Order: sequence, then structure tokens, then C-alpha cells
Amino acid sequence: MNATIIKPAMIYLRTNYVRLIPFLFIFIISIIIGMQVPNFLGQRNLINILNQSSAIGIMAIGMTMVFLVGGIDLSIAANMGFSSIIGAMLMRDGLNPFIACLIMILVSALIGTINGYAVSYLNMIPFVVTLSMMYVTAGASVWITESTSITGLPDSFVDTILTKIWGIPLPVFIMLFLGIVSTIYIKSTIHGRWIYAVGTNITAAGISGIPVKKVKLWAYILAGVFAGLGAILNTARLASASATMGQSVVVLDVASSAVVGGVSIYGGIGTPIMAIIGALLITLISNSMNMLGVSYYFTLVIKGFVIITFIGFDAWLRRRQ
Amino acid sequence: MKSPFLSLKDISKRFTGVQALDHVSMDIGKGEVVALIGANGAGKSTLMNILGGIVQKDSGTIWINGKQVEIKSPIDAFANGIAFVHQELTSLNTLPVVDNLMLTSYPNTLGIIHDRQSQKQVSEIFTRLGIELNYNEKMGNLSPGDQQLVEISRALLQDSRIVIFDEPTSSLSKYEKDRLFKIIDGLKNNGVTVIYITHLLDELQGLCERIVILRNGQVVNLGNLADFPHKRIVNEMIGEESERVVRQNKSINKSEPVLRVNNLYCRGVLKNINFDLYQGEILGVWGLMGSGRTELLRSLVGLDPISSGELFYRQSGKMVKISPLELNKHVGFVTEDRRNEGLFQTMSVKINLTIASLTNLFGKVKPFINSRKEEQLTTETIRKLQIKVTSANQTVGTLSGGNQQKVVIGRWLLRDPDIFFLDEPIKGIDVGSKAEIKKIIGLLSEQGKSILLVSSEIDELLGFCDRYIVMCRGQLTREYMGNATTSQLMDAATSVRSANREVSV
Repeated sequence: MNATIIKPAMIYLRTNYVRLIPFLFIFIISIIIGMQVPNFLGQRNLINILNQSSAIGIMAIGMTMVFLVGGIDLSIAANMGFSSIIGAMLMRDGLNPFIACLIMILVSALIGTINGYAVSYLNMIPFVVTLSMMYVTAGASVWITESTSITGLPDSFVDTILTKIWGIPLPVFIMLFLGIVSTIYIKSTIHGRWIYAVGTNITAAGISGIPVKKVKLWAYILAGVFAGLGAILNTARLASASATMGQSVVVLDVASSAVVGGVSIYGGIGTPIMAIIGALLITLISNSMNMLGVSYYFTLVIKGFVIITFIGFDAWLRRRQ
Repeated sequence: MKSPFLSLKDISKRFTGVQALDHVSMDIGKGEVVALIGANGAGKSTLMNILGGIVQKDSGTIWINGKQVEIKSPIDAFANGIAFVHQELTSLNTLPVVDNLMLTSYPNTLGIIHDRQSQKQVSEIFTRLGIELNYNEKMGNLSPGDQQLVEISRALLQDSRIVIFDEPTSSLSKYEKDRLFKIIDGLKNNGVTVIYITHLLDELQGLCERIVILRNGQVVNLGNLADFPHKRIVNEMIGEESERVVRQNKSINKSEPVLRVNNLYCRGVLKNINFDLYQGEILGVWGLMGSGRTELLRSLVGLDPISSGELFYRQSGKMVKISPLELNKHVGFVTEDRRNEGLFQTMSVKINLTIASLTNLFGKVKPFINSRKEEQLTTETIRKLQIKVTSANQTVGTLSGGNQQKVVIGRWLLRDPDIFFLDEPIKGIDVGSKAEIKKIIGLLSEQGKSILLVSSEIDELLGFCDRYIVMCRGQLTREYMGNATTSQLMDAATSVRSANREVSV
């Protein structure tokens, strides 16, 4: 019985060992930094890293959906920031946190729908549409908050989201849960298969009778939904909302997470769970540089180099295969 | 034979799970034209890609002019005087001919190009080959045949001693073919060794002295062309007696069609198309290039917009008016462009087979794909169509053309539509697969499926269809029954063409 499971797994690993590189990177970075900074490998910091990566990881799932159909959503982080603000304002003014959370998801999904409609039904270019949407949502965020932080959120909201199970905050479980569910969705449902097909060859997909436009629209809506989920977690983690949450560097972290996790920006290749691994790697870099006392801007430099090294290594291995 | 100029010894190459080449050896003399023949997937392209430095061999040696050489990249191949004229042209369409030719070898001083000298070199090469082309013309404005001449010229700029042609005639007109053969003759007389890959056997006469036949990665036979009559070559290629698929024309029940097309117009492409398609019928659509054959199929299923006209489709015994997009749901469309419109190249055979019928197969129960049922359906289809794969999880892009085509057809078998549109289903695949695919088409019609079959290979259509409609300049010009002859079809497709031209001018 065991052999029947282990054998395919071994075959998978032998042919897909490229997938293991992010893990290897995470391991190596951890060891090196751990030797320099004693606290780095402490339980508290490791949990902190997981917690910090949760919102990026969840948005990376959404980005993966859009990457898989051959698109991109540059507005995903600004979208997250915008609905955080909306949700936070509603809660501050006394709305039930549960309903506020639903509204956050709804607002983000609506923004995703506009993106998706423009891309699939109006044939607009994803890069341009979502870049414009990034301006719109980021601008609106600053405008409605007047550059201030929205605070005074109900404790019930913050406490519920940040509940600890076995000492690990809930957002980590939510991230892993969403990663697994969305990977199952993308790998074993008809919808998921269609998403891969559209990203691999959109003409052939159309001729095969797949509702291509709907599938693309759906991917952008999903990206919006995940942005909304990210908004809930981020708002709770920071116990506030502000326009800086969705600043443009965040979307780069999200996109890099997916790419480092092996999701192809050309469509058709990758899985959400690997994008989460990518998010862990990206967060790990930020966190470790912070622990080393490196300046934020120099951290960006390091991050950029690590990402490009990683992708170069990945390309080199693929070439050899 | 004199001492060989090019020797390949025991060349082997293995791709994941497939022995592409198995100890292939051959000697080729200086100034000799050798035809490399084999069915799709026999290993011709792999062998030549090794020689051209595009693929690395696993074992074996290559000798040129008595010296062993290592070819690890296309640059190595150039250095050894090997030039490769690819089947698919790789030119830069927005640049002039002269730049396409000189791109890697501009005469220059400190990077500044000497235009006049470049042009001089190009016209010299054109004169040598007897080519008349304007070297300032943009590459994209040339016909495929002329573009190919530029590719050949580029090969000769490097002063090549060995030139490989990979199915060079597949997109050429008769005139362009003759011109190409003359150039190959000229190369031969200048002592250049030519390797000519093809599966069009009619071309060989008068072009090559010797042939090498590959099958399943092995050399099955080689020798003087004179010793190999057409039929023997075909048998060696496919390893068994080939048979021409001729169907007994069935009597078709013509009381009620499955599909009726009334006054179909497509702006600038199709004019006043009327025809019926009956159950179990194979209706051949014949016409020359640009006659609107493909456009007809595409517009019927909504891939191209129609300007006016009506479609009727039989649903529960009644002819119901239907829109092209609705009709699409009842049609299995095998397009001409397999690579870009048919296959999901990087995905597995299994996924390619089931992708069009996921909702029919699994959707009624729940949104999940039942992987065991999928596996089983895939295995059945692979067996039924005799698709050669190592496993259902093999990437479809690694299959040969014939097997890829079977995958596309298999996809629609799982969907089980009433009507099949087959656009050039046997183009560009080997003789053996052609016969197999025609058998499959025959079986479909026996099961009561209606088939609209477009082919530009008139000999392949003959004796196979129940009825023919002939297209010319976007119009249906004539209809023939299954016993039509080549000259009848040819006349219908060409004569009206000229008549029409007179009217329109």
C-alpha cells in the first residue's frame, strides 16, 4: 500500500526537483542568518515570519490564478489596501465585524470583476487595466483617509482573527487552508482544468468549447476575493488600516512570491501552494534583513538580487532538463 | 563509392522514454544529394538536429572529411561548414532581405556597417544561385518560396560544404519547387553535399541519387534510388503493406439533412453558400488555396463572423434554426493548424483528450474530475485510436504529427458530437498515420456521424467521400457524387475561377 504512494511521489520528485529549490533557499537562508542572529530561529520569530507572510501568501494565491490564465493583476495590493480601509471605517463606525469582513471581500471582488470584465470582454491589456486600477484604488485610499490611519477597531474583530491555536496565530492556518483548498480546486475541478487550458493555449481552448472569456473573468474575480481575504487578515494584524498597506512595493512582493514559487507569468504553469512557499521565502528575506539591522532600502536591494538569482538558478535547471 | 565526405557512426539519442535514434550509421560522398526518408517520428529531424548542433547526441561519432568533429551548438555546426535550411522559416519579417542575410556577418569598420559592400556580397550570392530578388525588399513581403531562397542564400554565405534541407517544399508552389530543385542541382555540381528530408516521395526522381530510409530510429534500408520503386519505399517506411483506404459509397438517406446552410454570406470571403449535410455522410469540400474552404468551416461555428444567412440543425427530428455559436456545441472541429489551434503543447495527452468534454463527462455529478474515470476513458481512447504514447501523462508536444492529430480527433470522440468538421486532417503526417486516420473517419460515418472534410490533397479525397462540393473564390460552384474524378474536381475549382475573374475585373 505504502509503495503505491511512495513510488509515484519519488517519480514526481525526480522529474520535478526544480520545485524543491524554494525550500532549499529557505533552508540555507535560515541557517546562515540563524548563525548570525541567535533570536532568528527562535519560536517567536518563526511564528512571526509565518504571520507576516499570511496576507502576502493569500494575495499570491490570487495572483497565481491570474498568472495561470496568462494575465497579471497589478492592482491586487492596492485593492487589498482599499477594502481594508473601507472595512476598518465601517467597523470603527460600529458595523458588525462579520458583516464588515463580508463587505471587504465584496468590495475587492467587485474591483476584480471590473478588471476581469475589461480584460476578457473589452479585450483590454491586463497590464494597462490593472495598472490603472492600481492608481484608482491607491489614490482613493489616500483620498478617503486623508493619509491617516484608521484605528479604533473593535477588539472582538482583532482578537478573533488573531486567536492562537497551539501558539500559532489563526492567519497562518487560514493561509495554509486557502493554499491547500485552492490547489485542490485548480488541480482537480473542471474549472481549474479550464484555467490551465486557457493559459496554455487560448485559441485551442476556445475551439474546444471552453467558455474562455468567463474563465478569464473568473480568475480576476478570484484575485479580487483573495485580495479581500488578505485585507481582513492585514487589518486585524495591524489593528488599523491605512493607505500605505497597499503601496506599490507590496504588489511586487506578491508577484515575486508567485514567480519564486514557480508560477509562470506566461500562463498555464504553477500551483497556489507553491506561491505560498514563495511568499514565505520573500517574507523570510525581509525579516532576516530586519533582524540583521539592515536598512529597509538596502533590504530591497538584497531582495531583488535574491529573486533574480533564484529565477536564474531555476532557468538554468530547467534548461538542463 | 569514393571515400565518404560525411560519416555518421552509431549515433544514438534517447528522449524521456523514447529511443529516437538507435545506432544510426551512414556515409555520404562529396557533392552527393541524399534523401532522408521516414514517417513522422522516425527520427529524421532528430538526426539532422544533431548534425545542426540543435540537439546533443548521446553516443556515436561524426566524421567530416576524415576528421572526427564534435558539434555541440549551431555555431559549431557553422564552423564545420554545415548549414541547415529549416522547414519553418525563421526570418525577420520587418527587415530588408540584405539585413536578413548579413545579420551575423556585416562587413564593418568599428561596428559601422558598409552598406554597399553588404549589398555587393548579397548580389554575388544571388547571381551564383541564379536568384532574382530585390535585396532591399522587406522580408515579410516575399512569398514563402522567395523567403526560403533567402534562407538558402544565408546557408551559402557561410561557404557551407554540407546543406540540410528539412522538408523544404511543404509550402512551395510548383514553379518555386522547380526553381529549388535547380538550385540544389547547382549546389551538387559545386561539390556541396546535400541532405534532403522529405516525405513527399514524388519529388525524389531526378533530384537524389541515393536514399536512406529511417523507421523507429533505425536505418532500415539505404541504397540507390533506382532500386527503390515508390511502393517499396512506402512499405519500408511504415513496415507493412500500405493500403489505400477506399470506401464503398454508402447510400445516404437524403430525406432529411442534419445541417442545412442557406444563403450564407461572409463579408469579402463567402458568397451565397447553400448546402445540406446528411447523417452518416462524408462531404468533401474541395477548392484551391484561398477559395474560402477554411473560412466556411470557421464561420459555421462562429469563429469568424457571418454577415447574413441561416443555419438549420436537426434536433429531435425537426430542423431548427440555429446560430453559429449554438451550432459550435454540436460540432467537433479539427483545425488545420494543430500546433496553435488544436493542442495544449505543454500539457499531457490525458488532459488534451478530456479537455473538451469535462462538463459532459463529470459535470453533472459535481465540479470535481473523477481521476479514475478520466484515466479509464483516456486509456480506452488511446487504445481505440492506437495513439503511440509511453503513458497517458506524456506531454503531447513530444508526439509525432500523426499521433498529435489522433489526440485532437480523440478529444472530439469523447465529446461525441453529431457533426465533425475536419480541416486538413491528414496534412503533414506520414503515410501510415494517414491511412489510420482515414479509417477512423470512415468508422465515424458508419456510426452515423456527419463529416465535413476539407483537404487540399485531391488524391487523398478521391474515392473516400460520399459527395463533394467545390469552392472557388468564396462560392460553391459545383457538386459531385462520390465517383468524381481528379480532372472533374480540378476543372471545377480552376475554370470557374478564371470565369469569375473576368466578371470581377
